[in-house]
Amino acid sequence: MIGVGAGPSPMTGALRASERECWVALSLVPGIGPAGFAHIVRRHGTAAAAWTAGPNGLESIGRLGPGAKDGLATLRREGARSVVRRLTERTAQAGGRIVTGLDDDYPLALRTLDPRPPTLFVAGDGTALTERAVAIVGTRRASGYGLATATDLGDELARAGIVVVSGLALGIDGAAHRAAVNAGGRTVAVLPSPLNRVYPPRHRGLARDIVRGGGVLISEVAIGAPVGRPDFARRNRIIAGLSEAVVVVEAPDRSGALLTAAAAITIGRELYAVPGQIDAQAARGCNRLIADHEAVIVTSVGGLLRQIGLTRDRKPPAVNTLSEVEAQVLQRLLDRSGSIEELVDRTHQPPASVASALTLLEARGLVNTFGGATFHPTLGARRLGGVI
Amino acid sequence: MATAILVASGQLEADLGRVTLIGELALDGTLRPIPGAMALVAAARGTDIVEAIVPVENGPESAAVGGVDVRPAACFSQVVRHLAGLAELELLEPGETSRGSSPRVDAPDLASVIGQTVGRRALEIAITGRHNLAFVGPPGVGKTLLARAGAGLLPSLAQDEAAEVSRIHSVAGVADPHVPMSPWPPFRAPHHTISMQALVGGGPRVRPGEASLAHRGVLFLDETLQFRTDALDALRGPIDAGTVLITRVDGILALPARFMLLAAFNPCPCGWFGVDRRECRCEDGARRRYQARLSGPMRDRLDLVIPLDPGVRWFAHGVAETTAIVAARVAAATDAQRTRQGRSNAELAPGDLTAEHGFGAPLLDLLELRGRQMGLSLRRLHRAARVARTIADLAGSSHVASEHLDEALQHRPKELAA
Repeated sequence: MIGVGAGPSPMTGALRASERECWVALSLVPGIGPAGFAHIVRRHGTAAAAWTAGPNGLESIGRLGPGAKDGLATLRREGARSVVRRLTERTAQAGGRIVTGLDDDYPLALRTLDPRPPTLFVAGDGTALTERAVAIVGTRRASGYGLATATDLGDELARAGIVVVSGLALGIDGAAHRAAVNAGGRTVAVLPSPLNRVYPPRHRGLARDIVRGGGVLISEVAIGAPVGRPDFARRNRIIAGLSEAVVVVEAPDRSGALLTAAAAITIGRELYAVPGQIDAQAARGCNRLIADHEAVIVTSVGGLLRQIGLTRDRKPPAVNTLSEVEAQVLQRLLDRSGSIEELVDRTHQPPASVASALTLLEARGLVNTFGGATFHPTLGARRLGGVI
Repeated sequence: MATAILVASGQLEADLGRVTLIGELALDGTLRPIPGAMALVAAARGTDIVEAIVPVENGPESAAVGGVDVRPAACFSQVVRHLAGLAELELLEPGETSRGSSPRVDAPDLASVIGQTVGRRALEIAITGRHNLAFVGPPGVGKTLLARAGAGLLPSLAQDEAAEVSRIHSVAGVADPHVPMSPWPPFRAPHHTISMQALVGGGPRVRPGEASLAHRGVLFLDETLQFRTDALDALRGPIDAGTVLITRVDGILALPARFMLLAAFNPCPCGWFGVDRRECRCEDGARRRYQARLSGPMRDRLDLVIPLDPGVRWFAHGVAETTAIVAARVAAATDAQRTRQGRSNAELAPGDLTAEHGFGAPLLDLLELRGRQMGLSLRRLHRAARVARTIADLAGSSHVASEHLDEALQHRPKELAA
């Protein structure tokens, strides 16, 4: 909770506050969501007017959630000006800044949303929010296939100069962000948590790398807001809102990624889905989106890029010639991913040769296991596909 | 002590200076066996003592020491009569427990392992160089069978090594009285419910733990991630130093514990992560928490981590090599190590990566390149280099070649993708 028992007297603080300060303070009231906020401001004309109207003025609207009255009282006691000053400081300590719907740098893509998030907290180079962006989302229970696909998409989109948007979650989200960062591209992570508490904690390093790479961390949750369940639904709406297209890579039934997909449909973004095996639980959400004609099927990375009007970076990576066994192993993997054991079976080479060939292919960035037993060819290997 | 009283009180005339009496005297006069008899006889060797009288049950192990006449006795009266020169106790010949007559430990034959060519290869490498190996895979894939087959590959111990192992087993009271000095290295497979003390040793009367009982052999931890994490972490010291240090009020005790760690576990709670065509239902976080039961430092100490998967064709591989064929290769490559450096490749120090040991300049350059390409730590590179040395030994090569190093690197532990 913000500012209990600190700050100047309520009246002076409240009266001198600017429209922006009142706007931020009002958006901090627990139980007032984007819809409620928009309604209140519309009713009162300005955020300052609504703020001055006090609890009774707000209550009459009848759109306040539980806890709103107490929260509002506490905020008003401290005063909008003081509340916003302290929040600005704390946000800056986390490397971020406050961006309101009144500000010029409020992301253009979100302006058209109705309702739109009133206040955002942004860390990193805000220009990343003004470029063409595509969201890649999916499950935390990702398979190697899902991780490989998310990595390929993130890599290709980043190379094509597209900002990759996702939710920084474990699994598909993380793979997409990481691929974009590694490809030297920009990526936007929409957090379900405040900027000073990167969720999940495992991705703190990834979050740092995203900002270092010219990308952005963005959150609708204020630092110091009551700690509850991370707000995934609102996060997912921002992910879809910031992007011209949403690609669902791997999503089982009831996956959070399907909420992002639903948001994309609601607010009118293009929706794509990567198909999976018909018996794979992890692919059921995606397959159904495709079957129900809600999403466009992604049949190849290049196909997706063409559909969103991009041409593919066709430069093959600098790779020296491969040995016979290496080429043979890579060709089998391009046919289908597999374990060493399967490759031994499919190439009729001894395990020792297959193992050393795989190390060389790994070292050259042509195959990846994502920590599992199955080797997947990387995008680099696919580009090389025609060469070998 | 009873004997000393008899002698001191003049009831018995005997020279106790050249005899050692070992055993526990029961109230009815019978002699009971004690743990560690072999160690006591071994300690007596080289002193003035020429004769050891031991309980019958401790006879074979005591006789195996050699250099001291061992005479087993069933009861105290026999001892007294012997010392008084009335009835001589029978001398137990060390030859009666001849070396090599004992059967090799009971292990499944490698021929019974279906498929798993990569796992078999890794097992051969690990046993040869005494590198720490982990099999990771779904339930029923054959991790345990393959690991247990490793017992049959262990080359026989040198005489002094066998004596050392037998002494430890004797002290712990786990020596087989009929096979006093087995030439075969121990293969210990404690259950995952074992306490830390039982695993590494200690207790009010210091007793060697499984780590010491596996000295010169294999410590197999099946379902490794089910072991207590403090117990697993306590293995770090012995893995590094080859000894267990037990700190007590009256000083620090060092027990030998140079074992090869053999681990086997599932990759995630459901067991199916990373296996193509089978679905893993675990969340990323659950996979990580599960794998984190093996701490980072312990993971660092694994040399080979082999994901096993069910493979594609189980019954199409023909007849696999038998244990006897593979064990012969292991024995030859073990001799190569002994000849070159007098110890296993696992015991090579970082400073040993020299031309003398078969590491040429081009190979060290490649080692450094791979380190940078794959983001590996110096420790990981050292471990891979030792494994590569073993792969070269199996190939009969005096030099470590690039394909040996690349094969070794492929079997490094891999992190889950970020």
